[in-house]
Amino acid sequence: MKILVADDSRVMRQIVIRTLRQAGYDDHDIVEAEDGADALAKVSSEQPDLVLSDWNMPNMTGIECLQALRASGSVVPFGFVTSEGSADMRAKAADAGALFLIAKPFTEDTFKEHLDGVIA
Amino acid sequence: MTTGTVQLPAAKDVRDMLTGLVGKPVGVNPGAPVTPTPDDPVAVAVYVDPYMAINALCVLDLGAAAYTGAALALLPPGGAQDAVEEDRELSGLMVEALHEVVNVLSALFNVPGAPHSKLHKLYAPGEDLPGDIEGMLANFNRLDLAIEVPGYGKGALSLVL
Repeated sequence: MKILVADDSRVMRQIVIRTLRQAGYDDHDIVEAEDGADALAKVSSEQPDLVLSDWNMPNMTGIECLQALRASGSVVPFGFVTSEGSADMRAKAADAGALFLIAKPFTEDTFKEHLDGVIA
Repeated sequence: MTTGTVQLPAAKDVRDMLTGLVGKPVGVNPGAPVTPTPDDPVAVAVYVDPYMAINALCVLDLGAAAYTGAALALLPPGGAQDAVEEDRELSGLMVEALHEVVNVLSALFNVPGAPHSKLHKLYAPGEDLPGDIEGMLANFNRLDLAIEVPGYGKGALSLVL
């Protein structure tokens, strides 16, 4: 399957991809996006099976990207990987249609916990 | 219940956060305030509330800046140590990694009842600071810590409100 990783930090994209590998999800195609607008465009051009997105990004935030996707009828599975772990943010994420929210810092176990069942 | 102002975290919260971030047991102990001097440049992360008012600063000496960033990005310890001991400045990749470290540290301030804090800007070591931020560096409401990143080295970090 194809996983889209959206984060404005190149370092953090690498860390997310590395953690995916360490968690055992190593035989998937990874596509990277550098902000919400890029992610939105790549969901339509790349047709990923899962989006893992940061929250705070320039141009378009992760939640704006998710809202735009749902408004356009996309049902792509979408999870946040973000430093925003408050109850308020989690509620906002769930309301917008996110499957899960992984708060940074995370470990491979956190990834397994949230991704088992989502990644085939 | 807080009074709606940003609170300083406990040293243990900082230790747990840094340890989770770099995946190694980071040593965190009470330390001296981090203060910039011409020979000791510091990195300053600025956090703001939803109205863009400055909520908090995180000040890191070269060691803390280089070693937390390098450990997060899995950069070799040797390069980070050279940056601290010889170059006295961070490489672009280290600054990028440090940006992610201080971004994640914003969660330390986001506890129930406190106004939401978000990373606004990171000044890399040696970068000029605006006068208002330079003035805030000496504020009294602060947590000063000595840290040690295993395999990398020691540094100092202050959280200032």
